[in-house]
Amino acid sequence: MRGDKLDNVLPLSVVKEGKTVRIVKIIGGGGLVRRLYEIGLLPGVEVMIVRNSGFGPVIIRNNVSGTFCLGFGVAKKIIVEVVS
Amino acid sequence: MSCHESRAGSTLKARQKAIKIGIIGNPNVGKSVLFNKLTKGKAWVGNWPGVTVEKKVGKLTLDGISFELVDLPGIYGLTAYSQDELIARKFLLEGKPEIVIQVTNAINLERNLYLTIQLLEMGFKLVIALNMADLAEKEGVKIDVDGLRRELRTPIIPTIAVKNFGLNQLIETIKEQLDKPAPFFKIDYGPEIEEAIEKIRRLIDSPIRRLGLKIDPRWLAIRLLEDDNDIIQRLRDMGFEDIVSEARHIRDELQAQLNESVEVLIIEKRYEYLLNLSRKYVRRKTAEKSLTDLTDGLDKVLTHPILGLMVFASILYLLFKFSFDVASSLTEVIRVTFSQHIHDLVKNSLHPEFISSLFVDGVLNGVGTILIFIPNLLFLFIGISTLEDTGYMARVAFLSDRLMNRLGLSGRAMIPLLIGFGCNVPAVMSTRVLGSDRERRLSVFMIPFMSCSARLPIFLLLTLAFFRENQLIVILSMYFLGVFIAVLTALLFNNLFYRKQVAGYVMDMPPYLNPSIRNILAKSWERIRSFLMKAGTIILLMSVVIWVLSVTGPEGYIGPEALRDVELLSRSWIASFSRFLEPLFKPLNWDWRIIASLSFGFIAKEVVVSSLAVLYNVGVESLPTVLSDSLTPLAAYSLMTFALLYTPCMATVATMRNEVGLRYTLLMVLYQLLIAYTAAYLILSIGGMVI
Amino acid sequence: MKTVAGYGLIIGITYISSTLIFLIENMSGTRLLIPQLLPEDGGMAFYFITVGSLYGYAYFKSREKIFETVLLVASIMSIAIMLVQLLNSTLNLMITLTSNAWIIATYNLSRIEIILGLLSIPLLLRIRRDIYE
Repeated sequence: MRGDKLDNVLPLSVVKEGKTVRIVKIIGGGGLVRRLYEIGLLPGVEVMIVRNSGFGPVIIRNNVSGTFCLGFGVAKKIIVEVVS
Repeated sequence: MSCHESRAGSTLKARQKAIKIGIIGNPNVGKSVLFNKLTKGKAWVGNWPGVTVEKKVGKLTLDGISFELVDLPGIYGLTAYSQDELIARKFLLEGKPEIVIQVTNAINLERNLYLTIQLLEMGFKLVIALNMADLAEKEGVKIDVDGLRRELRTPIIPTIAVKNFGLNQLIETIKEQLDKPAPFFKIDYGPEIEEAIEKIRRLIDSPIRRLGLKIDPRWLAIRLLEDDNDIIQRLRDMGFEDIVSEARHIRDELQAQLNESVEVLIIEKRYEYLLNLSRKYVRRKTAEKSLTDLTDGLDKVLTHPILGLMVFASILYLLFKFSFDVASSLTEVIRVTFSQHIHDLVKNSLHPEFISSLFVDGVLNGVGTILIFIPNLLFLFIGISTLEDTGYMARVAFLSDRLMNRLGLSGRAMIPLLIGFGCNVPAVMSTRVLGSDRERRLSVFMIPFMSCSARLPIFLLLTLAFFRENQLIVILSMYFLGVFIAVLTALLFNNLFYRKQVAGYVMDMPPYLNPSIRNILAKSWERIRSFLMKAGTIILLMSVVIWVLSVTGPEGYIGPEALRDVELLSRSWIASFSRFLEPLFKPLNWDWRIIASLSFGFIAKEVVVSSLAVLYNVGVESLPTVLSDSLTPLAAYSLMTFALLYTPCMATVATMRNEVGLRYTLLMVLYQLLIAYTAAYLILSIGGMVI
Repeated sequence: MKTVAGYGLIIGITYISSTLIFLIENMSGTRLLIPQLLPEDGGMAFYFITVGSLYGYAYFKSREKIFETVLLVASIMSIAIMLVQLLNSTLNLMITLTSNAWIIATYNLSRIEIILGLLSIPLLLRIRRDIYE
């Protein structure tokens, strides 16, 4: 499943509020990626966008991780596909 | 006192030392509340992530067994990514707790279980407190506690720490666990990884056994595969360089074989395992009127780019009004009672004059200073605690993210800065939750310019003397000036040292909760108490020291008359020291008495006002009148500016040294003195031209 | 729901007009209204504008779900400043028990944020019922 080419992938930072997305890939390395993985944000996981003002941080949620606020810099590095 | 021996005697024979218990958990799960309830103790608590920045220790004695509870910082995993995680892990590795209590949030159990798995892999005896059980039920989360308990072979106790529910059972369980062995726990990471783990385990097994280390070799092997820098460093320090490089070799081979990051695969396997647990034991229904819906709705307003900022500014106004206007009438009562009744009473009942002067001019002046500012501080603390308890503070971080990004910081850095308005010491300490060293240093540089509560007395006094009409505005202008300088500092240092990097962060958003009045009052009282302990003792001590330095001089004992006679006072130690500094402050036109009190302020800002009172030989109550005779309003404003911007106190300097090292601290102290002097001078000269 | 929103809008308009008059008075230096009906200072004027805008926003969103929470925030803020002022005048009254203390107290109790705060209480109760039950 991983590595498949998908047409509608985009960074989390540009997804509109209320959408549910599936994480495809997290760009970058080291501590940050590990931290995201630790709170349950790994490829294949679905999250809902609770709040996204467009150029600030993004608030996301799912049952496993709860509600998290991701800084804009982080949200840009999370590549997702929109599920609904 | 007496009925314990028979019960505890046989199983816990000859336990001399207290049994060490670590309390660990994700941020914002109620660890600190649980810790406080168990120890009836001190750690302070808040509904935003990252309150516990250092481990706090408390004692608990039960049936004659004494326990030492250690409250650890909130962490998500044991990867040493932030300072917090390093502290927690250092304790687990070196502190050797006999039992670890993991406090979990029942609403998002899965995320908490990730830490559980890591703790079990480390080989700890674990007791899980399934906290916020009531909220979870309301949210429609149903957990099969028995099933989970059997699967993890670990006791799980549902608790509601704020309501004391389940705490007795938790304590009973801890006692039962003392003599049981740690459960056997193992996750199957799949054939390839397991093979690598086994290879490394065999490498380290015998050296570790030889050294008698109580570390699970399998866990160590997994950490090496995960490329854990802290562990690698520890092994190197123990002289296992060859094992480290061998393990790295095995890891590289595995990586090539799998064509995928080994760390990622290991974390994925853990999540696979716990999602499987979750499928079996956690049921979720969509609740009709859930807390989540309410929280989302409120967030739509409170984090709205325009309305949200308006609400934030308005709340700040209300907070300041509450802590200054409302408290002022109480301050008045204390002022009047103190100066009229107690002063005279003591003065007339003590002999000889030497003793009476020591008490009235030294001790009582100190006590008066402390008491007069209690109402302001109490109201400020009540306000801040309320905002923390509702969960609003995390939204402040969200709102300020964009702004803070301009300074190269993340919204999270706003929280330490806001704490700085209360006290700089915990503010500097709370920067540990920030991800990078760069961000921590930048915020540590900014914090001292946040006007802390100890600086408020100076502003109150001087505004009372010179700006009685516009007191609130002038004080607010001080706060804004501080923020302004802090912003400039961040921009300057970010450009100078870090070339405008931007921070990335991940922060837990707690749901909005109704604040509990008991919790707020308890927390505010705790903060007031720590102010009294920390500042109170220093103020009292310094008041007496100043008194001694005023009644003695290079020629010997002068006598209490010195306090009433400026002529005599000018022969004291205080005078000679300040005169020595006088040329330096010539451009600011300061009296040696002001220089003297500001030098004492280097030790603690709290003593500036009381030492002024001693040096001008009046009670704090009548100090405004005396000062308004010897300074112009402009000079007073310039003095306030200096007091705002120079080094906050010895305690802050000491904390800074711990957090960012001696070199940066010295740089900062010099920088602050320079800025303070320049700003005070500019205000005096530019203001002089304008007026 | 329309009546609730309308009720809130009236409170909101009162907040905003009070602030506008305050601003006009300050800029022109004239006196148009008794001071009890105006914000005490610039900070409070800003507070009034915030609460007024929230009530207005709630009215325009009265068909959407967000309406309830906006009203919740607006009424809580309305009541919060009332409580702070009430506490303020109670403490003042307790401390300065002189003959004209009662006059000051009555003056404070007829202040606009106290009246509007009181008027917001039924709103808060209504919204709480809708949200929690």
